[in-house]
Amino acid sequence: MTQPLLQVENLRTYFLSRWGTVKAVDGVSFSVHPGETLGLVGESGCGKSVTCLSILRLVPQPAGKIVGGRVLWEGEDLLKKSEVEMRRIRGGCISMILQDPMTSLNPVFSIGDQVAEGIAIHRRLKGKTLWQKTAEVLGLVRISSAKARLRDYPHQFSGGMRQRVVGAISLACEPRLLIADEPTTSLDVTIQLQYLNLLKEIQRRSGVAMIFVTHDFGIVAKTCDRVAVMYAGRIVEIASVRDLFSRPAHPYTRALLDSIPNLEEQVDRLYSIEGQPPALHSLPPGCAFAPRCPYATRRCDHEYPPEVSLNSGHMALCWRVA
Amino acid sequence: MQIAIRVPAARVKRLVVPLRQVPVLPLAILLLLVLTALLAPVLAPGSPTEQNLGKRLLPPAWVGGGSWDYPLGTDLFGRDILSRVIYGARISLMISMTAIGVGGLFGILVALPAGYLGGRVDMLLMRAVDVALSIPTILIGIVLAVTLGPSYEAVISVIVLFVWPRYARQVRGETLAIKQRDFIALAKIAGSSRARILIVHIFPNLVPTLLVLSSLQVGAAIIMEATLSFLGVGIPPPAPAWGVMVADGKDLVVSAWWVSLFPGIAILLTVLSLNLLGDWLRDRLDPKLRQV
Repeated sequence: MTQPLLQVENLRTYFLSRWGTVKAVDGVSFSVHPGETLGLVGESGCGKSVTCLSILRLVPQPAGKIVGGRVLWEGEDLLKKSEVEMRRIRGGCISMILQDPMTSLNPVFSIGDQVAEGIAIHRRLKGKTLWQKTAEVLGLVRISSAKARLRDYPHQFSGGMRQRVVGAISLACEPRLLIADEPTTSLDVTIQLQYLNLLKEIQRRSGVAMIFVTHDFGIVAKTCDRVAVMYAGRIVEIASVRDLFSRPAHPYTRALLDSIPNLEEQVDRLYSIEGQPPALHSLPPGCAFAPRCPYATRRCDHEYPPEVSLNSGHMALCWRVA
Repeated sequence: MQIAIRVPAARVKRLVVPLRQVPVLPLAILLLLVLTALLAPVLAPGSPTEQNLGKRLLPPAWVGGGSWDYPLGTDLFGRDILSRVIYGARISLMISMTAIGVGGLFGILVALPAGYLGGRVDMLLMRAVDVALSIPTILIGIVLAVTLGPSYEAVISVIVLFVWPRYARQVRGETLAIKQRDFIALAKIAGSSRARILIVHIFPNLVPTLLVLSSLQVGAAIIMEATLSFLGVGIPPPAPAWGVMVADGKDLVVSAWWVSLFPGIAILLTVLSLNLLGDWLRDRLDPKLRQV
């Protein structure tokens, strides 16, 4: 296999709060190879977004802090870079799409200005060439008659179009990794599909790698090559999409897959996982999922499970498969 | 059976409403004030400072004993009140604009980094604002006037002292709200520097707030200037400041009411218009009330 584009090793990001240290990301490791799409799945508050922000070193300050681990970008540790170097990386090498297109754009600037900003910073273009490139990028995300709409303001666009503009901002400088933090969650279903297809198409053309944060397994199946399942700040299972859907090893992954409603079967109640995820400031000593796990043993309550390699690239964190 | 089709009244009205909502009268008064200040030498019938002791305390023209040479009458020194009120507009505008400009700029410069950087910087700068807000400004004005003598500079400094913490408070609060918005996060993701985010992304979003605040603060500044002048620690006589003129007439209210009344009306109309305009601007520019 080729050298990974991004390699996250044992990343830990903690938040200091009134209730103690919140371990939002607690020892996460994964890698992303050029051109591939890694899905990051998990319920709300499991640390998906914080993981993404940690990669860009944009964890909310001063509450949040990256306390350990390494984030290797082509072998170089981003956590050791200076703020100026990081700025070159953000937008230039690694970019991100946020969840809500309604608030991601600055209401007082035309979209042309906003797309052009990144290009001006990283490519140092000016004047006509800059404007030309901006229109080009907007055309790339299928904004029709892009040139004419450069001077329009965000409120003149629909949600789906705004999210495409946000995509254009992120992709403007041809980054090699795009982190998409639930980019379709706030779009309606038909627009979602359109947007996913657009991202896929751009990926085919430019070879950009993606980290796709979502909690929708349908999107995972459609867009991702590999999937990492997160629970309480850790990755509990990581596998290729095919392996994950056909042979989920971790009980949590299995429970998530079971929660997807099946239209062929007639059921009285939909399946759901009992209980609540643990509070991240007082994690149990053993497996964090143990209190909700139907297969939990005494050992699970007291000892943290090891990483178990099942076959090439399939890893799970569970005593059952050990 | 026939159904009458009426044009809904609401639709007809809608065309009229926006125009009616514009505060025409306050805007007209303020425009008049600015023109008056600019064209004072042309408009004033006489000199604002020339004394004519033979014609002291003449009543306004329409009162018995008045003359159209002095439409609003004369004061204790026989100076034309109309001319003095007209020239007074210059002083009020100049003083309040300068003070608001300096104070506002200073407040913004303090508050932007405080709100954006947060933490200790914020704590320190905002405590400074608290201190500034708790200073009794009028008292400082009196002390300044007594020690250094009344002057334009002293009045402007006092108003600056009065105004900047108010700007700082407002701007900091707004900055705190704006920096949480996603587009700021997106700007960071795109690789913008801190300075760039502050100047290019946050500041333009503050402009509506600043407009509203300024229109209200100019009114407050004019009142402040008038107050200081009334107390004799503001604009040194014989300059025709409105506050000074009100003070000149305060012992004569019963016998020569016109000495205080006309400059008083000038202050009232100006400040009232500014406040009405400010309220209207706030309603218009408030993003929460504005249609997306």
